[in-house]
Amino acid sequence: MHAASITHIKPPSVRAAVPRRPAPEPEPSGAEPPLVATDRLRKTYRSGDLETEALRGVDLAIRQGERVAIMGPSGCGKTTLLNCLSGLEDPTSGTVRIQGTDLYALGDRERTRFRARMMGFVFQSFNLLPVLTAAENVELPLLVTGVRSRSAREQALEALRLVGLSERAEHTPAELSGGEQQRVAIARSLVHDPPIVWADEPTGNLDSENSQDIMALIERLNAETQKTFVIVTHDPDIAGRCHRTIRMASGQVVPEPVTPRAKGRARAAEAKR
Amino acid sequence: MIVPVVLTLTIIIGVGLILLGLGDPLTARLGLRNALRHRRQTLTVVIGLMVGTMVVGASLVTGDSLEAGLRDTALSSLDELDVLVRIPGNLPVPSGLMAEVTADPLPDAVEGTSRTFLGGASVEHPVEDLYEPSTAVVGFDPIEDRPFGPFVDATDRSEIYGDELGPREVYVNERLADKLSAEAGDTLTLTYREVFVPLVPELTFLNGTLAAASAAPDPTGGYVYQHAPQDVYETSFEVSRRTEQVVAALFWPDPFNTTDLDLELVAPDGRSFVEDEGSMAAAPAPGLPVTPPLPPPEEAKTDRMNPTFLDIGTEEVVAGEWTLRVHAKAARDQPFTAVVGVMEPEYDLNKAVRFYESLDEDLRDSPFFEDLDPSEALSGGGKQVNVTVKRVVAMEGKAVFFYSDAVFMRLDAAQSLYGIEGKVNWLKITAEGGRLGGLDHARSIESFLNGRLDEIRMSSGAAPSDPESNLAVDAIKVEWLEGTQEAASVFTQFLTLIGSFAIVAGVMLIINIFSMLAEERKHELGISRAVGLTRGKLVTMFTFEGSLYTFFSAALGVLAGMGLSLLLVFGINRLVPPDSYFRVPFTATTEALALAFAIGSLLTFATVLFASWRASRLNVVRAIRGLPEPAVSGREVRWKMPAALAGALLVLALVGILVESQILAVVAPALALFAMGPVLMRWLPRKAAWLMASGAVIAFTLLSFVLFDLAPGIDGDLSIAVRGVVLVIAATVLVVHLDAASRGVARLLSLSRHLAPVARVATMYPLHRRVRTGLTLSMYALVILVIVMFSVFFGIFTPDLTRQTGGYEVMAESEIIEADLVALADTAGLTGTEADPFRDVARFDTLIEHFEFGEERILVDGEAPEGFGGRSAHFYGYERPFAENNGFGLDEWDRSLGSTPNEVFERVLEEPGLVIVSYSIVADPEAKDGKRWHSGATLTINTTAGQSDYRIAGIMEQTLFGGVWMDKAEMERLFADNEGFYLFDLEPGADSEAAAKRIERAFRFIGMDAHSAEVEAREFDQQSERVFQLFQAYLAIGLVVGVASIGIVTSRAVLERRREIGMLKAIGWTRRLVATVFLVEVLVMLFAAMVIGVSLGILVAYLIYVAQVAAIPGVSWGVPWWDILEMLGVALVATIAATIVPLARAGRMSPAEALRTLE
Repeated sequence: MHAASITHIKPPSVRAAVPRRPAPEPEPSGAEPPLVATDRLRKTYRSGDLETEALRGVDLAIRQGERVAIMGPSGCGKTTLLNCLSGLEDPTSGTVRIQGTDLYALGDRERTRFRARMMGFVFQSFNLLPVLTAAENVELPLLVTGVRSRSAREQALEALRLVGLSERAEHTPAELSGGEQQRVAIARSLVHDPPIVWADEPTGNLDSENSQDIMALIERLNAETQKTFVIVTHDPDIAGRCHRTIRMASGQVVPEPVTPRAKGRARAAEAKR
Repeated sequence: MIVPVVLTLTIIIGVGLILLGLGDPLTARLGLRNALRHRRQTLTVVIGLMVGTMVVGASLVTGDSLEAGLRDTALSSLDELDVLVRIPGNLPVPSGLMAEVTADPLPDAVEGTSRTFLGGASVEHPVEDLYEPSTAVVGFDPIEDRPFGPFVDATDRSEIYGDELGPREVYVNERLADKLSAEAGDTLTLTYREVFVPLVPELTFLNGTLAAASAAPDPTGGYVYQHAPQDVYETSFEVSRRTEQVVAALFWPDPFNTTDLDLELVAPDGRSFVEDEGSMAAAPAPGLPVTPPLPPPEEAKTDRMNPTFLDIGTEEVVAGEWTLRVHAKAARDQPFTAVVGVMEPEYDLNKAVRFYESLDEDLRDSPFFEDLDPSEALSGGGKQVNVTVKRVVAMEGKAVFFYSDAVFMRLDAAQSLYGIEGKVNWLKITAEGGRLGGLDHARSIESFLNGRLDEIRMSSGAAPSDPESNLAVDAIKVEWLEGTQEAASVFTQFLTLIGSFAIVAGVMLIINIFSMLAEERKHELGISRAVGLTRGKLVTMFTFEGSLYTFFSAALGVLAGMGLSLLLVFGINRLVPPDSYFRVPFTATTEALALAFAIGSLLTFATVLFASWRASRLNVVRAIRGLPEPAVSGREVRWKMPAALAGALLVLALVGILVESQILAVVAPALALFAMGPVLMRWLPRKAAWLMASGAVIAFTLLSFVLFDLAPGIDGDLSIAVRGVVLVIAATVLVVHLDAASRGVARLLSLSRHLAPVARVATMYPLHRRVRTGLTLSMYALVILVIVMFSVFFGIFTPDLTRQTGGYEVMAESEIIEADLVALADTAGLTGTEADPFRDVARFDTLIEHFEFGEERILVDGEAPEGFGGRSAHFYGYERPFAENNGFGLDEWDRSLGSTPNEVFERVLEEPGLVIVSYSIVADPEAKDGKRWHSGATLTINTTAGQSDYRIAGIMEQTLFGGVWMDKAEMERLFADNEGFYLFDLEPGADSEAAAKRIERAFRFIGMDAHSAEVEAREFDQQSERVFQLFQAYLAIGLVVGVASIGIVTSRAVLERRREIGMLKAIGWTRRLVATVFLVEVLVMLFAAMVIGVSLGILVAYLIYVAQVAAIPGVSWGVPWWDILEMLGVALVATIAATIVPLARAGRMSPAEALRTLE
């Protein structure tokens, strides 16, 4: 099933072919509930007597197929928000619903399984297991959901083909460049066909050329598979290549400032309508 | 010597570190702060580092405890007795002579001297029907014995000195009282043998021919006396002041009472002692009728017959020239022999025996010597006396008396009982300073008394047979304590040797821990280097950190060592039979603890230094960027240094061969082969090069067990230990480079859908960190190898019970040799009753045994056998029935002497100069066939009278009755004071223990001590097994180290791989799955260690068995699979238990936290 859903994605063409313009937002589908929705999400860290409010009642909604950037200064709570949205970290209060499922109403075990089924992750430092080859790394999410080894290998190779690394399938991370490692990580995040991919600073460890490549890949995958990408980033260029940006400051979502780029995006959406 | 060196070195290093810290406070501060930054981690590190100190501490403290136990036993046994003067064999000497020895002036240090008598008896409590066949009877003078301290009444704790004792009253020590259920006022029966001092006569013969009296027929048809010769024959002889008795005898052949003979002894003072023999006391008047003369029978001419005796007792004897006279009025011509014996005590029993052996058979068998032959006098029945228990005295002070069952009585009463009035056999001396302080003076007193004895010998002109010449001074306490120190030191050495494996494992753990610390801090170390910290400073920083760990770990290690030692001491005490008073007190001396601390610190510090140097060799950029170390290609490998090292090692191996050091000869080539690994990398892929090098090391090291005979002593022992370590390391290198094996395991695990996700991760991680995995694996494999190897060795020395007991079911000993037990049982009216000692006995053999204590009593080919003969020797004398029927096998024998062992036993009886020895005499554990000598070797037996050489005809398999087996008659010739030794063969199905009890009870009057031989052999075997178990328990410390190390390594791995854990959990791996990754990883490593350890352990044991042990009697190859499986099971469970905490932590780890920490 997973293989079938990703095989229709075209292999990446040359980088130059990737359009560098604001992405059109996906069509809202009438009364369809958002894929991700939060309600007054709060997270407070305690360290001894010291309390730090990382999230202060965040309300947001992300639709299926959206490519959303989360931006904000250091310490504003971007990563905490991503962790809470993805079920990695329990919020202090508030709810997170994914496809209508209250994430934190699930027990740890169910939530882990839910995550395995519904989410993919891309991290700043790739987080590939150094002891495994690229293909073996990509297989991991499949194996954990009980896919047979042979089938997992086929799907992993297919995913690597989609990110343009079929030649490097048997290489270990140490033998790959940073950009290649991140491609492997993206292949790993998509191999089991999750509706959402969380990316925490996916280009943070890459040079600008590799960063552009990775973003082009994300854009293409988003466009072709309608998967939702939620990207935490510092880079306005990266954010600029998303459908919209959620700005954070002091643990809260703040309105997006009206910038020429935003104005352009708004105009484009208007024209489309 | 080692103690001050080690302590000084530790102090120098400590002071050096302080000075270094003062000179470079920043680096020192960094190091110390690093140590204190993560308290929990620090604790883990400290626990890991303390292993070496723990093992050293446990060995030293246990050795000290054992020494203290032996020392306490020695001190309690001897109490205030410091020096002993006596004749070997405890022969009585005139009390006056002992008084001469201790006459004033004596050294000031002498606090008291006491003339004492020590005898033996079988003691029975008739009312309770209890008896003790072997009891010490001590006769003491209450006044002289006062400096040796009081007795303490066991009931009211009052102190008594024995003045209250009547002639038939005794004190009984608690030990004996408990056995007999005796209390004050009870009557006990003592069965004993009078003390025998052989008297050897100086013989003077007087031969002559009596002239016949004449007779003529009278008219009535009879004969009448016609003429009576009045012949007088005489000779003179000398009597000395030592003469105790003068005996004279006269023999003549005429069987008829027709001769009137007077035997007369005339003293120098003119007193005359006459024995009148014959019917004609006075010359008959001529013409009186007489018995007709008959021709003497032919035999009468040669035989001495009709003896008449004259015996002058001690009180009548005076020194000077005596005269022997024979007055004869014979009926016919006939020869006569008169002999006078001047009887003087012979203090050299062997000489006495030899004298009687040399006597003419007629004389020896004549009543003249009836009671004088020591071999006769030392056998035979005992006397009985009833005594009353005045008090039961507590087992303290002098009442302990060598931890024996003892009865104390007045000296005069004991002398009277044992027939030695005016004599004693012990002179006890106590020095000032009490029980311990006396030790300081013992040697000087010994030396003084030896001088005093020399003076006495000179002034009295004592002959070699005189008591003066045979008295010996023995600084008994000092010698005993020196022996205990020696024994404890051997034990400590052995513990340290077997503990050395755990120490090696501990060193590997330390390196591992520091490698992990360095790995974990690689990033900050890189930054430190980048901002200008030199490599030297990095080493210094790590060293400071390590020093702090070292200090705390050594301190903790000492405590842990004490705890471990406590367990060992508990184990040793459990090995001691419950009725024994020997106990090992837990003794931790400051010296031992300081030494353990210092050795542990040095060991840890050296390892820390090495690990710091290793950690400092980082690539700054890779460290900062967290990049893995790149694989080194063949061309880049530094091969010249390893090649040079290999060359140097080969030279070292040659040196080893030249100086006969097995460690160098065997280990240096193995290491050279290892060093060839990097060299081979120039031409071969890395893995192939290591596989080839490690394979070669394994092959060579295994082969070395067959190629080289094991060197004797510590070199050989250590070479086994070092070879074990080399083998394990080589096998580990081989395994960690066998990627195919790892992939195979992964594939196998992938067959299970549950394990499929973890299979690859868990099997690949260990290969990813080869050094760490290798160290952990080696550590664990080494421990398993050692335990398996020792288990196999302990198992193959299982003796065959029938061979041990010779097929006899009951063995017994008695102080009195009873040649005819059947008659004795008959006389006692036991035959046919319930108590018949022979009820279940099919047949039995009566032997004699003798125990010699002293240096070099026996030698084989001029050398003293180890552990036997050095300080003591045991002898057994047998006769033909035993030779024909015994089932003791011979391991080897001179085939020209017989085709079966029994034929050889018989041949020993027929051919003088042959003996059989037990295996223990010729044993040499380091020899190829376990024997140092073989049949045909010359056995020399040293007695006080000289030495005798024998040829070893055969070597017995058994070790239960270790000693020399020889012809009984020959043994009687050698030793006078033999004891009875009996071996009983029972009817099939008979209960040997019940039979032993019946036999012991029936013959208790001759002091018989009987045991079931089977039970004895089994207990002997079990005792060895328990000792083995104790050592195995000690070896298990290594297992604890292995288990702990896996726990620590897993714990560190969980911390180190937080990022991966976070990622896995993020992508949907459950807690259980994450924990399973680590568990499978541990189990894969454990399994690999088990495969390496078990296979190499069995292989090494087998090779040593084939090369060195197979020829040892009673040894057969076998692998104690159940024991090994049991041990592996324990290891498995313990390892899983040790990893539960880190596994749970890995499972519980919050993915966000894990990712946040490093993202």
